[in-house]
Formats: sequence, C-alpha cells, structure tokens
Amino acid sequence: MDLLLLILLLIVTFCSGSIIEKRHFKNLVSREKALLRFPTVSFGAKKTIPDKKIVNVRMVCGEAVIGADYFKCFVSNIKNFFGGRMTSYESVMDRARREALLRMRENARGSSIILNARIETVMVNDPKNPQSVPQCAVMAYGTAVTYGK
Amino acid sequence: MENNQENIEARYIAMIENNVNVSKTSDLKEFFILVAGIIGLCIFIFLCADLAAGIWIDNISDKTQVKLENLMSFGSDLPFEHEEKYEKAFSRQLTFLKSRKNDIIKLDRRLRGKSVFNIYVYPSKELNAFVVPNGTIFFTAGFLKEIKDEQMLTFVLAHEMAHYAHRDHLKGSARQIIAGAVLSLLTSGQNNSLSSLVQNVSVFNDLSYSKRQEKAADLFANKVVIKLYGTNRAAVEFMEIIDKKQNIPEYMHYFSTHPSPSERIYLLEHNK
Repeated sequence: MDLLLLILLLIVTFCSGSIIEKRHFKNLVSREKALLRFPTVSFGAKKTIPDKKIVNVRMVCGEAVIGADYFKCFVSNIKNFFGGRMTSYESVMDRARREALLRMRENARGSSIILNARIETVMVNDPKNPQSVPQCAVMAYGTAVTYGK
Repeated sequence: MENNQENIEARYIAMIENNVNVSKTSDLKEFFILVAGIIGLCIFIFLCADLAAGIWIDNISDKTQVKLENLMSFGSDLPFEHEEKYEKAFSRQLTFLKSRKNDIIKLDRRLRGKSVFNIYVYPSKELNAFVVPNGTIFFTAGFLKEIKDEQMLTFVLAHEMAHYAHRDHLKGSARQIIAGAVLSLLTSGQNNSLSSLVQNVSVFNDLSYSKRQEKAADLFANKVVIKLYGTNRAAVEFMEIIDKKQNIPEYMHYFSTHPSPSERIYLLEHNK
C-alpha cells in the first residue's frame, strides 16, 4: 500500500511539475524576447559618462521563489547518494534567476538602462530543519536610469 | 552597422532559446536509472545476507539453536485463556495431532532431541496455524472447526514442523539483522526518499524470501504425508479449501507472504 501511494505521488508530481515547468519556460522565453532591446548591465554608474542628461534615477528589484516538486526532490535525494550533477534542480535554479531578472526589468519599464544589476540568492526557509521545503529564492536589483533627450 | 545589429539580436535570441544552464537530460530517464541502481544494490545486499545467514544458521549446533529459540520466544509457553474449553471442544483432533507429531519427529533427524512441540489452540476465527521459535505450534479455533480430516491435519502439522526443521525462524532473523545493518548504514538513518525506496524493496524481497520458505515447507510436508499415507490427495484438497476460503484475486498474492494456493497445488501435484 505504501509503495502504491509512493508511485501515485511520483506520477502525479512528475506530470504536474513538468507541465508547470514547460509553461514557465515558454513564458520566460517570450518575455525575454520582448525585452531584448532593453539593456541591463552589471557595471556601475560611475564608470559610464554619458553625454546625455540624466532625468531620473531609481532602484528596481525583482524577486522570485520557485519550488521543486516531489518528484524532483525524490530523484535528487537518490542522486545525492551516488553523486553527480543535480540536473533536476538545475531547471529550478534557472527559472528562479530568469524570473527575478525579468521582473526587475519589467519594473524598470520606461527607463533607458539598468546599471549595476546584481543577482542574489536568499534563504527563505531554514535549511537546518529537515522538513524545510526545497526551493530556490532569487533577488535581482539594480539602478534604473532614464536619460533625457 | 545595421547588419551587425541584426546579427547580435539573432545571437541573443538563439541564446534565449538554447539555454545552456539547464541540462538536456530527462528527469524521468535519470529516475529510472537511479531506481534500477538502488534496487540492484538492495537485491545484491539481500542475496549476500541470505547466503551468510544460511551458512551461519546451518552450522550452529543444536544446543545453541535451542538456547537462541528460548531467548526468542520468552513467555510463549503459557497457554491462553479458555484454553481448557478449546481443549475439550477439539479433544479428538488434538489427541490425534499429539500422537501424529511423534511419527513426524521420527522421520527427520533435524527434529529429534530439541523441542517437545507443544500444541495449543489459538483463540481466533481465522483459518491459520503457526509455529513460534521454540517449536510450540498453534492452531486457530477456526481452523480446527473447519478441518477434521486426519490427512489434512497431518499435512499442516508437518508443514509447521518443517519450518522448525529448516530453522526458518532463525534464518529469517539472521538475514534481517545482517541486511538491516548494512542498509541502515547505507541510508544513514535519514528519512528521505532513498530510505523509503530501500524499505519498499526490502519488503518485496522479504515476501519472496518467505514464499521460498513456504514452498520448502510444503515439499517437506508433502514428503511426510506420502510416507505416512501413500498419497497427497488430502494436501491438494486442503489447498483447494484454502483457495475457496481466502477468495482473493490472483495478483494480490504478490503482496502476500505465502504463494498463491494454485501455485502450491501445482507444486504438490508435481511432487507425488
């Protein structure tokens, strides 16, 4: 009975997880394409000396927390025994980073450029607690600068 | 310049579409490879444990066996409440079983000089019989109510005594101890998916091991019945009664400790 429950849980979470992930990736790609011409750079504002007049400067942030499904955790747990690349968590990390970056860039709509963009990972849960949920939380922030005409 | 700009854009789009940060391998494929690896490892450990336990238990002396058994079944000698009432109700069958057990002891060297094989009635309506490590055999009240035939009683008695003769109880415990120690080192006591997987594999392994023991006991009982009566017709009939009583679908026998009655009938009919 235990085994049947485990198999059922794995099947359900695998299906739900892969559907959600596929949709998210599709969504990310289309949004990234839309923002293709909007520059985001990681160097500081001091280093750029534009001839243009700066009209507005503000800080923009984007955050995202992506959880791993039960199936991914199960696979990674076993993988942890043998060792190797945790391929099932790679997509979670990637999704969180791209989502956070996109949200930051979407927040900065109307500006000319984002300078000094930074990406950080955040601890949302307590990693020492064995019941903590496997997730990836990423925060992206930068300075949105609007140049005058 | 215009051309260059377009080139860069095309490159960016290609970068977005061919993400290098996520491996192209499928999770499902990896899952199956890992699970197969774990199952293989578990089966290997259990095979080693089987072998070690078999050699170890087969080589211990009779004196040690009796000592271990008494240790394992402390307190099981006491008869249950209302035992006298049952003794009276099934006195005919019990006297027969008690005299028959001496005939069976004479037949096999491994049964001699160890246990006295006390026979008690277990107050339960189910159709069952079992033996505890020190050789005390219990028949359920439901069983004695249903089965009156002497040949069938002999078959069941011999089956339970075969478990004792084969030292199945000791082998099972030794195997559990060895495999349990290795596997708990492997999962290091964590409550994660690895240990849940290992647990499930071990349950199935235990079931198949138990089925093998039951088959060996059946064959032993079959030999005894044929020696005493010249035919195993009653044994086959008994299995048919069990089949009718249990009435569970065939696939459920995968989750049972005993082989399916039809399988046991096949075994008995081909060992006349």
